[in-house]
Amino acid sequence: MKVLVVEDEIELNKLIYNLLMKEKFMVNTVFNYKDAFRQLIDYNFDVIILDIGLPDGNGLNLLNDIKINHPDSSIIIISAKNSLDDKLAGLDKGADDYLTKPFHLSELISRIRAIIRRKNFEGKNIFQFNELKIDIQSNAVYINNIELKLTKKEFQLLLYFISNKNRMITKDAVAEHLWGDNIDFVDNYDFIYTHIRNLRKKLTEAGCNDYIKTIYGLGYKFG
Amino acid sequence: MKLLNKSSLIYVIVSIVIFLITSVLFYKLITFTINNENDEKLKVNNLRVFHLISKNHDVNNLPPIYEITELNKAPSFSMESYKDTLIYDDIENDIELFREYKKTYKLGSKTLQITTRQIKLETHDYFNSIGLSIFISFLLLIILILVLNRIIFKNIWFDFYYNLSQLKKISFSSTEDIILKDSNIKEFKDLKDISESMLNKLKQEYLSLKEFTENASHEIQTPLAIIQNNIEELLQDTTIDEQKIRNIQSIYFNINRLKKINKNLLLISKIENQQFKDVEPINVNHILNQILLDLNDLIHQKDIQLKCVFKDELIIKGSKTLIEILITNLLTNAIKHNNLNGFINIEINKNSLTIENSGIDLSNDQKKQIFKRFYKSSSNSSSVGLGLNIVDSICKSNNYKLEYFNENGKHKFIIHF
Repeated sequence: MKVLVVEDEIELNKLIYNLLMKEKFMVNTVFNYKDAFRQLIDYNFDVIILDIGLPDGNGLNLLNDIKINHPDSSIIIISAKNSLDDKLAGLDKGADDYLTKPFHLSELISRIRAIIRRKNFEGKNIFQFNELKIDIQSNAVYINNIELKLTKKEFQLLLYFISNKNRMITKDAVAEHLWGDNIDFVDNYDFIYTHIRNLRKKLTEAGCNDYIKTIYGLGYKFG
Repeated sequence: MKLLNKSSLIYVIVSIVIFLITSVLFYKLITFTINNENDEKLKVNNLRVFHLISKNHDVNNLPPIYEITELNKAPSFSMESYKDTLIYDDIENDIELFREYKKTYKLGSKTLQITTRQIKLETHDYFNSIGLSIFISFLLLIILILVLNRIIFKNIWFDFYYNLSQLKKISFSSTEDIILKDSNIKEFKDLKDISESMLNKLKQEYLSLKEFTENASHEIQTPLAIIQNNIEELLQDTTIDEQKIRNIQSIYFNINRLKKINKNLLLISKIENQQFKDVEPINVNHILNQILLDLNDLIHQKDIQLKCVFKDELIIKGSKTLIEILITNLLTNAIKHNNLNGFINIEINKNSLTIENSGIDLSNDQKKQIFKRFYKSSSNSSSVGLGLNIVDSICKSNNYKLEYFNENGKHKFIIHF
């Protein structure tokens, strides 16, 4: 899986690069419009992570170019501008997803994995992890091939964990992933705990190993 | 007092004073002239009578118009005198005022005294007719002045009042430009020029301040992202000991707060800039149901009793994003500041949304501050204190009326769309 990261902030670029390398992607990174353009002439990428606000050009123009010359590449826009116009323009021009800075790295991974899943859907929408099997298309979960009923939120939660296997996910990232970032929960994450407890209970009662670990009261880790 | 009324009042007062003075003067002048004329006539008549007598005509007395008396003793000098005198007039059957002129003449050895008289018009008759005519002319003059004043005012001051009404509409946050009218009157033109340059200066300063806030908020996003992501990466390391984790946890928690503050400030500035232009018909009932579905977990967490009464289908025109934020903020507020086992009542009417929740009563001071930026009901709360301010901003920018009541442990928010 080849990923191109177009991000002018050196620190952020590095962070995304390290993250994706850890997740076993093949990653190229560039810091400006010109280099991104050159990379796109030489290579094909499965996923392009594109910052719109580049110092030497608007990422939205690059988007046009990608859609014409690389119709198979998926694009995730990352932008500091949380403006609806930009978001709509980006998605209108063929971007697959849009993330506003600052975002959680676990959210970025989950978005990339979702895109990859969507791409490879033909015949490959089953996700297997030991005794746990997830059919993403029909939103069904199987433990040792016996179906386990989960609520919509529990299913989303499980998928988020599996997308970020072996990564510590903070409660904050979980809350934002499940409820969006319009809701201000800062003072209370108890209800997340309730969801996790329910999910854990359902999984273990169905005979699944307890893969969800609580880390320092800060977050959770799956795997 | 309006300038027009003030100037009209001055005109009226001055006119009345002038009217009184001129009436008196006029009266004096007229009576003086008439008396003079009368005296002259009496003198001439007197002389005429004397002439007739001197030509040996027989002249009879015609009292009280003229009387001739022979004096026994001739005065040492020729005597003449004017005087006003009251005489009983048998024709009028009344005592009347007469003007009389006496003169002594020498005719041969005889000394004659001839008295001529004329009835005097009574003073108040003069006064009445003169006063009435002056009064009428002044009344006409005053009416004319008032009407003229009004017409002139409308024309001359039109530009002034127009500019005034324009200036009343000034709002720096609105994108509408204020256009002032030029005037051919120098004072008004000066006023217009000064107002315009002042406005421009203020607007520029306001814009640069606003731009700074926006830019600052934007520029903070990226460093925040880098810090947050670095911490998240740091937390992946399982070898860190617990004490250090606590430090990192505190950093992470506060970065989150910064993130939220920044995000909300950006949102407020966007609302105030009217940047949400995607106006469409919105079904508030549907949106409310959707949000409640999302917030269900939080409501259950506190064992809150939820009661929804939809009396009508509320459909408004507006930005869907903003309406969602508005309702979400009101509901999260109602949940956050609720008691355990409390209640939330939601009611939708034809044109309004009411959200009522149980909670601790606020002091009068707190009630006034509830919509203020960064206001928090309790200092230990880790919330940002911008939720209700955003609600307020959205209502203001869309001209919705927002009401808040708090009594007996109930908090009630009503929005009239």
